[in-house]
Amino acid sequence: MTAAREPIFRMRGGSKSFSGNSVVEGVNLEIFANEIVGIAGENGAGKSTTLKMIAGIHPPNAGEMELFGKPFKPLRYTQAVEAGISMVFQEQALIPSLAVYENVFLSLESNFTNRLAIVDRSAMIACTERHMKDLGLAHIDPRRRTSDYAFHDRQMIEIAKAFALAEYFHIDHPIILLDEPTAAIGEREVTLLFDSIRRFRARASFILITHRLSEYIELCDRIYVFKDGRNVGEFAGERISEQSLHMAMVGRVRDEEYFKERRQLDVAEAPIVLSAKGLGGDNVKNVSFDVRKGEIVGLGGLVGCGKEAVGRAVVGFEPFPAAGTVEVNGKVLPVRARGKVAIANGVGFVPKERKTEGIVPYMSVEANISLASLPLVSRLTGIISAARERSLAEKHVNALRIRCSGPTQLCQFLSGGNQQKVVLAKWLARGVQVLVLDNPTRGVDVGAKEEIYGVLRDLTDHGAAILLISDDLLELIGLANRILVMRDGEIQFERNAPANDKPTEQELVRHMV
Amino acid sequence: MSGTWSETKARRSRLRLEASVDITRQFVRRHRAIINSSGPTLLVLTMVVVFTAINPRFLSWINVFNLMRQSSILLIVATGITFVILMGAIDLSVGAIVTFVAISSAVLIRDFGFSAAAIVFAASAMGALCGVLNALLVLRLRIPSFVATLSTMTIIGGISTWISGGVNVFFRSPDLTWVASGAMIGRIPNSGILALLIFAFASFIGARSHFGRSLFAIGGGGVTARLSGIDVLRTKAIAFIASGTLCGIAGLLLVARTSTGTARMGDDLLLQAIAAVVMGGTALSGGSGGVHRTLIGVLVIAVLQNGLNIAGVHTYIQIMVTGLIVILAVTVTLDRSRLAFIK
Amino acid sequence: MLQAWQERRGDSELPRRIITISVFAVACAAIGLAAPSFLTLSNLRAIELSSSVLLVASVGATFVILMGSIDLSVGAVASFCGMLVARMAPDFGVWSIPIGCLVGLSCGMINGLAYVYLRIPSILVTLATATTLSGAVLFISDGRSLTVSDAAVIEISQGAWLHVMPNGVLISLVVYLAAVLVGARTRFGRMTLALGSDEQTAALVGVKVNTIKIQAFALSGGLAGLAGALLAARLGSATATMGGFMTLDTVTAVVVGGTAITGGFGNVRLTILGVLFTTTLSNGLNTLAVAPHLQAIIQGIVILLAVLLNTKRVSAEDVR
Repeated sequence: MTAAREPIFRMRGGSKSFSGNSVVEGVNLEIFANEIVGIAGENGAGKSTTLKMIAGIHPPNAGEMELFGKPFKPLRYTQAVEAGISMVFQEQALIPSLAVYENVFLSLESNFTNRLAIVDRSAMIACTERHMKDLGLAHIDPRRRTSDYAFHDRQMIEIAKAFALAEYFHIDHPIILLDEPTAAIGEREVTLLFDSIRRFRARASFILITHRLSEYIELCDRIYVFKDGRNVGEFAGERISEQSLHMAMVGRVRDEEYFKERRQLDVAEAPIVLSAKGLGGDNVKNVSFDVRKGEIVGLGGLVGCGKEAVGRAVVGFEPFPAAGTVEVNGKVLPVRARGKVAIANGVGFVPKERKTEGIVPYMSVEANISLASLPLVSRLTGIISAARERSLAEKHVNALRIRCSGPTQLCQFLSGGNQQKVVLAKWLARGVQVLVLDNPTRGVDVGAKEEIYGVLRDLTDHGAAILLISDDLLELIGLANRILVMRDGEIQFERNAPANDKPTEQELVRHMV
Repeated sequence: MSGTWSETKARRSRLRLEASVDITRQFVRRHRAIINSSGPTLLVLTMVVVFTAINPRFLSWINVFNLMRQSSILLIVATGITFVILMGAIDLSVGAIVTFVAISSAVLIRDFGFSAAAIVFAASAMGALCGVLNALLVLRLRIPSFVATLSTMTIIGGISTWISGGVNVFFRSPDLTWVASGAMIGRIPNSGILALLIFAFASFIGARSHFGRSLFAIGGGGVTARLSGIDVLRTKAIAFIASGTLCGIAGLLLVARTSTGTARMGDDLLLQAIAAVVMGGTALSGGSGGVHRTLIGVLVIAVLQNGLNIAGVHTYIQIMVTGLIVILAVTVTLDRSRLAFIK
Repeated sequence: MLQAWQERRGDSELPRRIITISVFAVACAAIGLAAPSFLTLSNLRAIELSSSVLLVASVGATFVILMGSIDLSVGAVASFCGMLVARMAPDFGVWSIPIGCLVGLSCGMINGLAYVYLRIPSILVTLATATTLSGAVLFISDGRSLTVSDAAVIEISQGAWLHVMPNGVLISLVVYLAAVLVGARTRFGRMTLALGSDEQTAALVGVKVNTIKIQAFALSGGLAGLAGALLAARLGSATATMGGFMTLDTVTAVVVGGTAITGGFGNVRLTILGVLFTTTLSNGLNTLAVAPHLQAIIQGIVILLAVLLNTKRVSAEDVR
């Protein structure tokens, strides 16, 4: 089968760090001809960065690469393309208002241009047409505007582009990288995509990143597993089961101290603070749950299961699934202006995208902390008291151990973990009764994570109800009183998680996939 | 043979040039913060030195007061537009609003006998109304502020021409003239004091009020402001209305100075106001800088124009030089780290 | 059949285009009814002539707007170059026109260089150049208006080489057609669209972003210069502010034609619609003896309507 073949691509010791944070470290991998290889791992494991290293978008800081037996050191994406490596981006690197053939040959038109600077359209169109036919994509008309085609077809266009450019640069067997190709498409398109990839494998090799484990197993010959920026395992086709794949991805020894499980409260008798009934719309179907005072409810599921949309519905972050009701302390939150009413009723939201949704990077730490509590730091109506703002900021900077040069430092210079603490401080400063968090420790270092968990326990001690939405299974298990697992927009599984009877990851994963 | 030799020489001098450019760039980057904040101040000081050398009258009290008087209008307008720019939008209609209120005020006094007190109120109201129009277009019809204010600029310009009937409007109002050109305290011009008071108040609002804070949060991009409970719509509306109102006051001051309303009298203010704001260090994309910074930008322009006047430079050349200096000053102070993709 | 044509062109905004054209037609009919002199041949000739100048300038502005930038110096460049032509005509005859274009091109290039290398936003750069040029034009003309008496220069606008139309119109049509060709068939034309649509992707795949940007501004300046020269030739004289109307009118024409003000969408082909619309509208309003101030108001409203019809709008909280 895979006798003594030479790999067509090899990476040894590939490492990449951004601003001192190591994202990928010491990665070894090999790609053989006509292969479909998957790279699996959680969010932040370094998969996408590795792909971008191969594609020349992020040149590695250390390590070396070999392509077709020769050293390979692309400094730019265009160099990788010339050498035979193309990437299919999550949102397609295609200009919507240009025609298909123009996108295929974008920036290479000079090779079809005559002396009057007029581009020879028919040559470009003919070439594109030929490739479309070869790939069984005859229904795509190179002359039409790219935005006219649906997502799936645009993916095909990017793949066809890879083949066309490979031929153009005289590469027999290109390597095509796919970054989350199925993140935004439905079942039918996934099937179409996979069929196409299987057909094309006779002429190219593919490297695939997806979040859906079943897809890896269905499609890939081999799967590399990444964890915390390292390549921790390699699975060959037949030996993969979803469970073992997931275990390899997330398996860590659970540390009860880390999640301060002993501080978990018994909330059986506590009043219900947050109540969601029949939430629907936007891929979410009939989701209902309650969160009691002092309780942490964990909401988990694979990417695309709808848990983020549920979080948005609770806090009113448009667009959100509008069907169903959300009640806070008995008060029903309206659909229109739900965001404002929610905040007014003591709901806080720690969003997934810190930099654009959680903090204002160009404002100082103290300005960010007081952002939701302006009346609290004012002595006269409408005028902020610098002294009050400063003391509020200092209080929280100390309490949360926010590492910054001072309350006046601009938030953009803080590390991810500290920025997240600022977001938390913002809501602590205001005082919340319900806190919804969406992947709060993504991209946060271990030490800051532990401190954030401590803050969450403090909040529950003071009676807040917390809805924790997370891709990190250990986090859910360690922190939550109760865990809800979603799949395809519905809650599939509910499990109490008292400190002495925590579920295992396998138990939860079984319901996610 | 000689071909390759000259090639090498050319290449060597090019490398040397690239090296020195690189060193300069690194120096600038390391000292970015200092250069940004002190750039305009240094520029002003340099200009003061140069102009005084050309004509010592530049630093006389009379001229300083003249300077205050001349720059008061720009200061008020620039202050107003800073609010809008801080939140990431733009108001291209400021010049047109100034002209409109100027001419309307002239007509109101001449034909309807408005008193000074009444006209102050009316001018502010007219300016505010223009601001409301802008706010409606941007927030209700959701038209990007660039196009919306471009349109209102045209529309309001048309209204101004209509009201003036195409001729200059003369009026007499001793009270008003005193407010604009008189001097309450010693010989310090009233208009200068008024402008400084407005500026100080606006700076305070910008730095310390909920409204000001909201502007920064909104301008900072993203949805953080909205998610943190800030009333985005109300803040944006107030910014446009504030800009309009201040333009109204500036328009009244402008027309009071000469007791004549002429077409287009306020139109030049647009470029000067934007330039002043940017030179002061407020980013055109919003979210950083501040109202208080606009003063130095206004000073750059005011000192430049006054100085060129005193130096006896021809009017036409003055206009040319102003444009060039603006580009120079903006180049130095622009915070390019924030402008990932300039449009 | 409409469907087939639509499919072949891949043009999904056809319905909107039809609405614009029908509104235009109805408006023309209405004006024609109100003032019979509107629909006469001589008046149509006059529209033709006055739109020719605007067409030349608007075509240049289209590329800049497609890129997502703005050129507010069009009017000033036109005035300056027009005045330059008037000054040089006695000495250089018909050659003063190409020289005027070249000067406009250089001004545009300065805009582009400052925009790309000094990274000054296009609003500010072009406003600053406009100011400088408005001073410069006063300087070279001494504040007075100059007459263009050189016969060869006047011939360029008012002569008739082809006998069916004035040269000015001929030249503007040639320019327009050349621009349509450039826009549809050259790298430069397609890349301006790409830059306005998704600059990041374009840079990623190796498009020479800086070169395209500078070229677009240079072209805009050059065509503005040509427009100014043609205007001077047509009027037979030059004043310091004669081109001033072009700054706003070109933006109106481009936007009314259907190109998005934010860039990335539209093409040069559409601009002629916008130009015709704008000039016919002002001609019609003139015929109806509508006062100039009212025309300005109407123009502002027209821009608003064009934007309302043509662009996707975001929520009020996110609009900037």
